[in-house]
Amino acid sequence: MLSIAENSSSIKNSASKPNSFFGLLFKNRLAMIGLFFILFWTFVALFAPIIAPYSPTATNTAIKLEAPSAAHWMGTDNFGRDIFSRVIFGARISLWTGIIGVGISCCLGIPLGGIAGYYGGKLGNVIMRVMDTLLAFPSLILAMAIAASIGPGLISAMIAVGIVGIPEFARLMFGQTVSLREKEFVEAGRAIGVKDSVILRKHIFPNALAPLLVRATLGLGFAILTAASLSFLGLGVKPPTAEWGAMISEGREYIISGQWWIISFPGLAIVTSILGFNLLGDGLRDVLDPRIRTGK
Amino acid sequence: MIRYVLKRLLYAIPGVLGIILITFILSRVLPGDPAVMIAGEQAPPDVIENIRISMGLKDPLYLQFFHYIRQLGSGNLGTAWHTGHLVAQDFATRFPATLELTLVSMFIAVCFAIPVGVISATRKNSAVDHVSRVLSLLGAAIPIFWLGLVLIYIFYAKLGWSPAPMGRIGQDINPPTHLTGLYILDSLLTGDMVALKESISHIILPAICLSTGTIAIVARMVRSSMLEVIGLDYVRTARAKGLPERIVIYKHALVNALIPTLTILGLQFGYLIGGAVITETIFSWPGVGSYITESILATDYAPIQGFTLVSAILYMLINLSVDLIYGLIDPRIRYE
Repeated sequence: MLSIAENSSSIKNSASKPNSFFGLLFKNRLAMIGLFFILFWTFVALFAPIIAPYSPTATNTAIKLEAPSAAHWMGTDNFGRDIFSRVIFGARISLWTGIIGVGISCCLGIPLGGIAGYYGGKLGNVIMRVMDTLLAFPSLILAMAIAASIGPGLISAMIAVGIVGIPEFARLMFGQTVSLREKEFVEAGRAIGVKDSVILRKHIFPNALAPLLVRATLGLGFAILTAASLSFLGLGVKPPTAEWGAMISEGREYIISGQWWIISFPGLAIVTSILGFNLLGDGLRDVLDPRIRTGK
Repeated sequence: MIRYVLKRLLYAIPGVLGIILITFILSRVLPGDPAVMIAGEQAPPDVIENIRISMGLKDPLYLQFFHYIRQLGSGNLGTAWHTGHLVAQDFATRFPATLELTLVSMFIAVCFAIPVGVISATRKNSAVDHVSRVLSLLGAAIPIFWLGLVLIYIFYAKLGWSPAPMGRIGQDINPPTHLTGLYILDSLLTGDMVALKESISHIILPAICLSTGTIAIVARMVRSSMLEVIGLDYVRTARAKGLPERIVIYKHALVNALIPTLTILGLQFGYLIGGAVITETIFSWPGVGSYITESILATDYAPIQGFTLVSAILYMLINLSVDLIYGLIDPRIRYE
């Protein structure tokens, strides 16, 4: 009797742990590497003032363009600013831009897609046609046009990145809502007189959360990349703010004369942060989408 | 097929109108005031007001939109004050350089991504597969502006293998006689071997830089569609009747796996257009992309808006062509 109980409990444990969401995610090595990068940059961004040895904007032309050394681990730039400190503080700007950008995309895209999918008809059609038209623009070009229209700066880069991401979320939410609105639990809600807004918020949205979460994670990488590209082109943050894309832009004229460190470290920071979100996003998709899991 | 093409072209009209509307909104409705942008923030209020009146910004929005469409209808994208030319004229001068760079990048991407994707799929979980998957992941995460600078540092500054990243041809070399504006093609057509060698050596680095992201995505796509196709009955039949593996893979499996890849290639043009702005800036490539960056730095908005409009319409037309080709090679689609 005891052995049967032991057996059943061990079967239960082995079945619940490795197949649970976190169990599967932790088993996915690439997703864990991604999570490591994300946690690393989040930690760096949060504790930037403690980690950075110098002020990110303090200039000292006496030590300009110095190669990496014990005093300046990643060297100095053309104004004698410590690149290590600038990379550390740059993490704050990049992560914030990504979070705010994706936040704008989610806050506008998800309700729009939900409304279009739930009500359908002319309203739904108009919303989705607008989304399709936005998708017709190459994303970086649209972001550039928006940032240029508002005027260069960090806020406009965030808005631009946010608007560019709206149609992706709207389309995803639209698809999810269309398939969920005919389900019995939604019909039951309607039958007992639950308001449409409540059905959308409390019944449809939670059930559409998994693919939205995957999209948001992948979107963060994309947002960081787009914002860095805007800064590189002069449409993002203004000097002397430490931002990775802007740092590479400032260092590009020194590459031919051999000062590789000015662009190398901010570049690696961008690559690792984007890679982090892409790997975690792919991992989440594998875990949350059973079709992909079984198909592997 | 003609009916299918006409139907698709008809469907494209609302799309084009939508693109024009969004570009118009970007130029008129967003918080930035075009009159202030033209006159500068320090300009006296009466100067700004005069510009507003002359630009028709005081008219109701629907009237402004109507004027905008009429202006576009006559091929007028505005004037670039930093060059003093019409935007459309500047585009026409610089477009061949961008087209050449984009086409060569696409060529490199296709030549590299398809074999890599096929090898990854046929030797799943081998070392080649793992390396190509890691490279695919990196390719999607590396910013194009950083990669370009790293390539310049390695191949120009350190190894000296590549010419200076300054344009399409060496400064002491005469460009080939103008036929199409594409230097490689023009040199071939006129038999100008010096210009051919120069233009190829100048385009290689920027084209590799621009193609990396596309290689990453296309290789992943080819891999996954090959994996799907390889398991299908007709591939098994081809093997069962004793065809050599090479023919099974390249003639039977790959041709069918390429159909979804075609869509991705079409979508990649959008990425290439955006990427061209950055790549051209880094390599001082005298195309439309670097012109846009110059316009950004000069806070000249007419070229930026014109480029947004033209690139979106171009992008839409490319995807439409892909759909039509799709319909041509897969009859099930055009009969739907």
